[in-house]
Amino acid sequence: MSELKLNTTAPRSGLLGRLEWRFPLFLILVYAVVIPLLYLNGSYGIESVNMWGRYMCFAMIAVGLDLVWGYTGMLSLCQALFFSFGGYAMGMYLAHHGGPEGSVDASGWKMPACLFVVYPGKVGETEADWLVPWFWKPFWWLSWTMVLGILLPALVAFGVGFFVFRSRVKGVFFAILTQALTVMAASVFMVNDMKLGGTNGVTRFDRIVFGGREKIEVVLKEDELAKVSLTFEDVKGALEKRQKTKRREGEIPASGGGLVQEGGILLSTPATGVNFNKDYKDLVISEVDGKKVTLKDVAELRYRGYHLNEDSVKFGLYMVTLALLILVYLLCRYVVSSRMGRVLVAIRDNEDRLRFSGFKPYKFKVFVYSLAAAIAGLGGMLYAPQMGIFTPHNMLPIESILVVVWVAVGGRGTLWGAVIGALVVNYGYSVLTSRYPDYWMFVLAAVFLLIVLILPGGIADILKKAMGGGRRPRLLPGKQAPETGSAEDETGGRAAEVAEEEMRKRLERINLLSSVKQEVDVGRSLLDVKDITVLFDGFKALDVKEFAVGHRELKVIIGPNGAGKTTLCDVISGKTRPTTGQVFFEGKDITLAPEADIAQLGVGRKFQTPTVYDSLTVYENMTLALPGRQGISLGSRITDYERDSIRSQLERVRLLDDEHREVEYLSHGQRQWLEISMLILTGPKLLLVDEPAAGLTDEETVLTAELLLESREEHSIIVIEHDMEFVRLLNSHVTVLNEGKIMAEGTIDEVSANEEVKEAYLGR
Amino acid sequence: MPGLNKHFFFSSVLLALLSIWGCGGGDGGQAALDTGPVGQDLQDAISRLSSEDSDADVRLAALADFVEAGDLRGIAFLKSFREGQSIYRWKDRLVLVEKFDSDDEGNSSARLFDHILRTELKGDDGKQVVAAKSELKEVSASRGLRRPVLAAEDTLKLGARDEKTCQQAAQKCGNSRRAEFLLPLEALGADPTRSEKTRRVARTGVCLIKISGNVSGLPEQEVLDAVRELGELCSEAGVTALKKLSSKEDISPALAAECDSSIASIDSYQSKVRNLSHVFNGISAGSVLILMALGLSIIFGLMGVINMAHGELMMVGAYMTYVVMHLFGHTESTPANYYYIFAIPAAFLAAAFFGILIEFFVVRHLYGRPLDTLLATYACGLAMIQGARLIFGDNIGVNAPIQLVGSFELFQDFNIAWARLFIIFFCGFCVLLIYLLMGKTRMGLLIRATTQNRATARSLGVNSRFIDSMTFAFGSGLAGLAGCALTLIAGVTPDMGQNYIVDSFLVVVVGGVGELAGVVAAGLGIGVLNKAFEPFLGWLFPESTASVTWGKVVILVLVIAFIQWRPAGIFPPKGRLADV
Repeated sequence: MSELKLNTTAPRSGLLGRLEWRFPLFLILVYAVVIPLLYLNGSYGIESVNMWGRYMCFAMIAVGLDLVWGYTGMLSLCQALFFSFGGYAMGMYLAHHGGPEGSVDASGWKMPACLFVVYPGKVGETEADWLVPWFWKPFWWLSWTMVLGILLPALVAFGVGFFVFRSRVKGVFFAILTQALTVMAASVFMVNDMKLGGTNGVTRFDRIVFGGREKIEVVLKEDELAKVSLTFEDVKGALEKRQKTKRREGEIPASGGGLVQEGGILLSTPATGVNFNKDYKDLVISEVDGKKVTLKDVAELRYRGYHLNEDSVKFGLYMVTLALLILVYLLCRYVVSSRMGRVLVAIRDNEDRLRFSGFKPYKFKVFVYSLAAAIAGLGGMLYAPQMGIFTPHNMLPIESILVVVWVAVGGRGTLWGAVIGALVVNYGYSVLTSRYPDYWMFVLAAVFLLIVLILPGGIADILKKAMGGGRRPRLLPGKQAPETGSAEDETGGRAAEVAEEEMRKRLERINLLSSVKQEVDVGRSLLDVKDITVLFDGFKALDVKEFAVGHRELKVIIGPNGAGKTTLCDVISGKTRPTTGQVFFEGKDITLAPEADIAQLGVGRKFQTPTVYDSLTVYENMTLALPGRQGISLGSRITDYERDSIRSQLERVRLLDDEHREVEYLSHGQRQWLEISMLILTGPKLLLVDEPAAGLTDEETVLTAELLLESREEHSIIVIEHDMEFVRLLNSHVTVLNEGKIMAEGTIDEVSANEEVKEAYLGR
Repeated sequence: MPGLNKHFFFSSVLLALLSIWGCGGGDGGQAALDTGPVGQDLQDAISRLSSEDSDADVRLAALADFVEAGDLRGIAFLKSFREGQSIYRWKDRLVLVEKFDSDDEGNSSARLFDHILRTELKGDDGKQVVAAKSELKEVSASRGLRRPVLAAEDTLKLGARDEKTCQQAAQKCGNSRRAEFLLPLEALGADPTRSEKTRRVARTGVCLIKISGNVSGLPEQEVLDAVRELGELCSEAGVTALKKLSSKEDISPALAAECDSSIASIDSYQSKVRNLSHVFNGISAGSVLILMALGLSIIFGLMGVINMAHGELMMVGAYMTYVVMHLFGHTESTPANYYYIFAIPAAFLAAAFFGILIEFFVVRHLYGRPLDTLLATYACGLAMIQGARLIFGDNIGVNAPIQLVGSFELFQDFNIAWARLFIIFFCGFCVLLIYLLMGKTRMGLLIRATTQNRATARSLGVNSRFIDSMTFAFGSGLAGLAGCALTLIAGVTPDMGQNYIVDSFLVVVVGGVGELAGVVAAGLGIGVLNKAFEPFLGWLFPESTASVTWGKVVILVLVIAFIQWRPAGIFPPKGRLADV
């Protein structure tokens, strides 16, 4: 169900020549150099810098979604939800360290204002009974906040992904389920009873404080102090006295509230709940002529920390966001350029093939989904302090759709396109909503429609063409490239002569190969099928009493349409579960084993239509078939031995010249061979080949037969075929299936002499 | 197209049915007021009541006589008398004034009406009498008299022949717990000419008054009987009164025990009724879901695309209903109830029209790209929402035909809203229609064939583009019908569809794609479960006011659990089809 064919490998001409580096570097130049310089120069306002900071947070979600959607083909409509988990985590932390100061709950924990305002007090409770719920408390500390802000969305994604992907929900079903998830979560977060601030969300942010302990800075005003002829020591003495009384009264614990001098005065207070105004501002320092001098007259008091309303802090957050965005981009770039990246594209192109090659795609999906969620959470954590508020409206379904819009507009499957899309669309939003608020939605819908309908590659596609990066013909989605087999390219009588000569040689070789008596191990068979029946809605599709394949045996199954040939293959490879009966492979019962496990045991399956990964190159297709590499890993280089075995196999099927072409440009026959080659490379013990000669030219058919006969030495093969010429070429043991039952067995000549078989094939 | 003809045939049958039913229900306007002569005793009572010479005792006695006279026409007089500024003394008689008009010179004058009959007061010249304000002197109940007058009004209303007025009065009298209502309520409760419900309300009132302790000198046995009878009557109103009684310290153990058993009996009955109405409401909510999900499912089954603008097509149907209502000038005061009969096909056609547009301009070009189709149709939906917002504003109300307003009591305290009942039948009718259309017509055969194997159908000469268009239009039209039905029970907002698209998709997921029976079962199931969870979750989170939200959460978790067990729905496709 590939939505869009992408070029996953750009032309390789130096680092700067590669688009996935050139555009990001350009963006970094603008955002890390130009904008900061303009800001420091005073010609660019902090509001605009702050705006770009927020949009870069959006870019993070977009990059994550591009991994999930652009590369893996899973349309997730709840990325804004993961973003919101991060946002709420940071929001709760900031609300803890915001105004009004000194409000504490019954247990002495600081009561955040946004929680207090909409606290769902029960009947009979007073404000004094209200408690800050347990799930707020980890978010007092920045360290916990940062860990949880990334971990929580990842865990939710893991949980959802695990259940959803394991039951093979995909495509639109996955999309809508994720949307249902975000609809549900938004309504839960809007409920006051959740004690998350209801529809108002988390607000009243003030400062970022490192470490759990709040500190109050008392900065003396020297001139005021001089006016009332007091000294630094007077103020310090008064404060120390106050601290002592408070400690004695038990208002602050013995360990807290120490005074530390640091230039001015630093007042360290206990972790929660000191009412600044009440307890300290009106502290009387001295009385001169009956006139009281209080602390606030001679000193500035404020909490220590990075105050979010200060320009320098806003600018700092912008730079931090930029740095983390670059890191996120590098991480994602690493993932997609690793073996994992190719598996992700393979999932998008052909999940079934992957499964029958021994992979468990759901593991990769869960991994990449959790990664994207974690990235979105990081974005949310950076967004909250820059926005100054975080509400459940950030997780409404439309917000997640917007993320999709950014990625689509920017260009899927490029990563940098997602960044550009997020920045461009949001900038458009800020410009248009201020001028034509009523029409923004129309513009958005129109742009989105145009992108989807006319320009599925998005801005990235335009840029690629403009920069001359897109040397390959642009492909319309879903359309196949014209078939260009290398064999057909040769023209003229000479070529035909060569081909004829080659054909003759091959036929001779096939005769030789097939005349060699198969050394079938009579003792124990490789595959045993016992009493299998498959019912489809009461219709008996398959009813096989006994079917066995020995080691290194080639068996051919023929039969009219609907005879149950493919169903038998499905049962063996685990695609279909039989209604009754058992399948044994090397004596092991594999009847109910998952496809991937069966493939890992050594059963390779070739489908009726070639199933290969269209947007990967021939070579990349082969690397995914390498045995023993079906787990999740990012790195692991291909060894020289593995490379050689891939290349020699490709040479056998005349694909070596096309090694680095995307598979979608191959002819039908080449794709058939590629699939068979991939299967052979996995080193299976049993190969199930479903109609390998379908749609092939005579020459291709002969080559396929040769390939199969050659590999007979290495493993057992079951071939399903209609083409009697092909079956004759193979000259092997034939089993005839009809109406789900085995009708006849023997050599091709014996079988074709059988009256029953003739009748079944030709009809009465 | 024979299939389409058949469909229109059914539409017209539907219209015919609706019109027949439309004539039957409701009783329309109020009965004309009796204009017969006013009895002498009432006249006397009024004159004593309003006389300036009367003291409080005389007035109370007059009020008692007023009630004794039993003339229901007096109720309106008492109300005006109590509220003031409408009964005036004019030339030794009482008159009713509705409003004063000022002329250019600032002199106020008013038209006069009869104070009891409310008819125009005619002068000798046959014209309505107009009196200057200076000639009129206001007569109204003094502060202390207002409560007795109100009580007198209620007592009089107990005698009203109109059952509804009588029931409301009886309920009010009972809830006031005042001893003076005891006798009239007892009389009403024993009146065999009254309806069963009226008698029940009256008897509940009697019991409430008896156990309130407001009746002095009531023997304990009678209180005990009243408590027992309350338990048998099973009225919700009894619970608070009984709890209050049992919390008193000086009651006998026998009475306390009787109280407890009565409370238990009322509670069990009421919770039964509540559960039943949850199920009923769930079925009607599920019916709208089914209509939505069927459209979604048919389109999804045929073309493999999810139309995310489906909710907005429902919105189009709802707004079309609103437009038709305006065209017919239907308002609550000037009803043109038949507008709804035209609104149904109009909603269908409007939504179908938009559906065709979406199919023609968007979906058609994205064949084989289901995710892109989903996104593109979502974009269409966004534009439609904003369009509706610009044209109609944010919130409008559709006035249902008056036959569909209100409810009837199937049995005690179990009320069935006409609108909800109508929706259930309407949905059932549509499902039947779809079943016949898909199963018995050629059009349905072509749709099913194309759904199962597009390539084969095309090679056999089926115009699959046309089938796509028609099916998309039909599915969209179903959403329009859902919107039209929804106006009866919910508000109309531009984004109303957004709440439904996810729910109806969950129905499709659970029911199985393209499965009529599955969708119906899943729609009812999810609809009923959603409502059924409310009491359950209310019990689980007693403090929470958001059981609707929790219901959604539980449904989603259940659906995810369900697809672990049956990934392809209740009725999964089998065999080779399962691979598609």
